[in-house]
Amino acid sequence: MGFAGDHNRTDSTGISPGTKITANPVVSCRIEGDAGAVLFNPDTDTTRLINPTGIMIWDFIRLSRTIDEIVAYVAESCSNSPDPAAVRKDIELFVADLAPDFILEADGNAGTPAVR
Amino acid sequence: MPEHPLYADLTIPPKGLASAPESVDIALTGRCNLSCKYCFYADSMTTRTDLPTKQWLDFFSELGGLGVRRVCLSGGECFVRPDLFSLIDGVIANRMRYSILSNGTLITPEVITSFTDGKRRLRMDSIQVSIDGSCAEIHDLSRPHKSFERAVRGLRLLVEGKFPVTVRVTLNHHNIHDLAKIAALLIDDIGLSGFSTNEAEAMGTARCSGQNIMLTEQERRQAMTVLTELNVQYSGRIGATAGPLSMAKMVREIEEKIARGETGTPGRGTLCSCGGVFSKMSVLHDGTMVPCNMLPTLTMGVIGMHSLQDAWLRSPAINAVRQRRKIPLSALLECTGCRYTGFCAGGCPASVMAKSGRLIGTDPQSCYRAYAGEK
Repeated sequence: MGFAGDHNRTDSTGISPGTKITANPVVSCRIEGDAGAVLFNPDTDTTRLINPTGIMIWDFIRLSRTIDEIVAYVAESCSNSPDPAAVRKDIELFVADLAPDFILEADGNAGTPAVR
Repeated sequence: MPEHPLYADLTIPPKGLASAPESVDIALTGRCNLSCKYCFYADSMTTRTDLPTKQWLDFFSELGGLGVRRVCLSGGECFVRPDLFSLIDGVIANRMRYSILSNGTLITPEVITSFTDGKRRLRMDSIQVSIDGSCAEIHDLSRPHKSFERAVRGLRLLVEGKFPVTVRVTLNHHNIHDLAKIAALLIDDIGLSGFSTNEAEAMGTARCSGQNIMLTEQERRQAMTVLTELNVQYSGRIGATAGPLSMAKMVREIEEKIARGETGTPGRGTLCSCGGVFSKMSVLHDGTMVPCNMLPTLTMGVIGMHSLQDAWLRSPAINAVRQRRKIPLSALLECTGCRYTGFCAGGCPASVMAKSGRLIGTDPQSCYRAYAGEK
């Protein structure tokens, strides 16, 4: 599965459990009906498609969150959520895919990758 | 009622249309420090008034909320607005990128310096300057006296500052014999990577000055030949989405297909030439929303009074333009008996409207049958 609509990454990237991440505030998010949404970073002129679960996560990380908090939120919000380990893996991939243009470390400077 | 392009419910957006435009063309002002002889916007400039800063900033906030990605700022001449950089900052604050169309004459070292503040350079897609001749004697025939000197000064400042600068050359009766020298000036001398071309249309002031500025059929054919040769010489660095160079490319493609025994091009054969209305729209300097700033009479609403998203999705004015692509050319009287309709897209809707006063029709200047001299 996965929450970003147009990435092909299959590897998981190590993210420090205590790292707080946040949606890059310069990024706009345009909802396109049931299809998902388009994220746009005007500084880098890049776009990324995300699916409805991705939108849910995107809204959640408008405030800074840890991966653990996101995993718990998705598990709680989805009635048919799969195995927590699989959810974590997908969220790590989502974050890795969207960093650094779309997602930042919460206490980092703009452009700082959330993924180490 | 069964779906029919001529009787469709124009308040229903086409399937798959994005929830908001990707970009919006905005005429920030109807004022201009020049008065050019082929200005398509001249009629709107005299009959409408500028919006104040706050209304534009509120509008940019609406665009940002809808996820619009970029705006193209023009006029009139947008550098006559003393609040231009406040407006650019409003675009930036609302998470958008921007481009500028300018006559170049008001671009000074101070203006160049002003672009260094904040993200003004980072968010700029392009800045386009109009150059219509290789020298003042030709450029200034279609523009006021001393325009050339100031436009080239502005252009050189932008190039020296490494801005993403582009140039548009509008072909007209005065510069048709100057094309090689214009290319040499822009590419060899000033150092641009290329430039684009179009031609003066029968709109605005060109409609009034008529034959003094617009190309004759003979001149258009000459321009097709000369520009094609120049484009080979300059390795494809001359572009066009309309005008003689674009027509030359279309003619070449059709003749190659005919030689191969083909009878059409996939996706052609209807009034499908303009896809712009599926990704962008325009706003005139008084806040009137229109499908394109060359179609100023097709009102979709007024910013501040009507929702842009509602106008984008449900305005009959823009949906009528979108609906054109469902109309087969074979259904049009002027295309009766034409064996080339399968290759044709009907030409620019604004050109059709300017020449015929109606939206459903074809542009004779984009017609291969007319070009080939067939009845």
